[in-house]
Amino acid sequence: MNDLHEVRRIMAPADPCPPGTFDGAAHDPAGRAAYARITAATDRRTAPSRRMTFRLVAAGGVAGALVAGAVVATGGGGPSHPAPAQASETQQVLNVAATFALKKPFTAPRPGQWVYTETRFRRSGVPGRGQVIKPGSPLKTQVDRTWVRADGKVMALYDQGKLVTSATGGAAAMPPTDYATISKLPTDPDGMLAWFSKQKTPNQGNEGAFQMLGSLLLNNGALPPAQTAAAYRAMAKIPGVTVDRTAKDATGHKAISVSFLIEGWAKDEILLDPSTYAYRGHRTTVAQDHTLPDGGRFLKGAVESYSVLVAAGVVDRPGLRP
Amino acid sequence: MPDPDGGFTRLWDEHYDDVLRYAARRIDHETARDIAAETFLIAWRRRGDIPPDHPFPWLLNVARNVLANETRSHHRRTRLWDRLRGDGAHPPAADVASGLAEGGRIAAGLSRLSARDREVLQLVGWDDLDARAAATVMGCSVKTFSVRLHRARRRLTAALAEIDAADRPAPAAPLQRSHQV
Repeated sequence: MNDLHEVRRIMAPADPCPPGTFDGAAHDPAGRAAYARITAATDRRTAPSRRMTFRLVAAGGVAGALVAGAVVATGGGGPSHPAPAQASETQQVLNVAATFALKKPFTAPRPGQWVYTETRFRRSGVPGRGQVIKPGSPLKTQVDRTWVRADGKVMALYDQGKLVTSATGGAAAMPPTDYATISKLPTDPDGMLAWFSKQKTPNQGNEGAFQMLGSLLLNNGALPPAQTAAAYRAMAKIPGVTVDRTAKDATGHKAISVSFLIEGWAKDEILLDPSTYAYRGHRTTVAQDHTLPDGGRFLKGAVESYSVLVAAGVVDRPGLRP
Repeated sequence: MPDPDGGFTRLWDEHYDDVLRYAARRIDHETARDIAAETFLIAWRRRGDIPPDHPFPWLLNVARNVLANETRSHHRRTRLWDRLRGDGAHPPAADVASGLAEGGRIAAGLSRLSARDREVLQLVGWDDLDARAAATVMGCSVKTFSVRLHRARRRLTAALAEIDAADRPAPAAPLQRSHQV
């Protein structure tokens, strides 16, 4: 059984046809045509001619998500199998992340339970007039530990050593961080993108969408598998999103980076575990020297901020850790 | 869509996409459509034989045979190669840019294995079958399949190690650890 799991893990990145690739093909024009012709065949002889019975014209859009074909040579003198076309690397990686998310065990919080999310941030801060943030500039650490009740109405956090409970102010947070709201988000990528585009977000368009999806992943300790997968697939649909499988996180560990360039100067990344594709955290790096309107400067290569999702899960009452 | 046979329509709705994916993982997409259609034509003609509880492995077993017939046909293969050598024969751009990306690395490892090893690994790793279903597709016992899977996995690991050893770049400049945050 270990073999099954291990083989799936190793093989997933090379899947030329990731789950979802031909969804709906049974009812697209080529699929409908094939169905009609097959069910019209009343001949029950069991020896169909060797010749291909159907010469179906590939309907437009079938291969739309797929890019170039590759040829894989075979060893051992067997018949040569041409390899099928591959999805772009960004689509491949995010599809695998989505698939793994769907397979991960998940227990939804019961009413009255709390979702714990612990996040460790390191930030450069915003440079004032005459200040410069450059590579190696010191970062300030902040650890956020929050408990949000499943209904989203109450939250709790430590304030100067005391656990303080307060109202959340409802579902106004953007992106939402309470189970009641996130569990009702659309589970298809287009629906999720459409939902975010209707909300009031600091940035609009592709930038805003990428940041919201990243923030949704970072700030929710109990994002259901369907919404997690939709978030990854939605990212794959945003033009300009790129993937780097050879990235390293801030502590030098291998990571998969999914990134988007914000306003032409800040590279916003989400970092995934290279073997489980689980969400690890975010990082924002300065990709071009940039001067803020009030004179503070960011120099290329500086880390503006990064975060690590340290712990997440469901507990019975605030103050407990999963 | 008319429903001449409830069982068949359901089979189509539930499994056509998966059968098409199975074929598209192994051959170009246009031919994959043909393979899927041929598979369901056989299923239509033999709909009395389809095991009602586990139709999918049965379908893939048919698809596997159709695919094998297809690739055995010399004439057909020549045409396929021509097609592949034409417009669509370029490797994915990402692989060219960054050496062997992970997908390319695995594909290269798979290409060093026997056709049977590849199929064993693909049925589990891509088509997401368990040992029992995959054994049905390959027409062998579950036990035999499990042994084959274990061995194929070992051989893939060895092939990847060989590729990594050959692919290792010359020693790079020391890492600048001082800038680590």
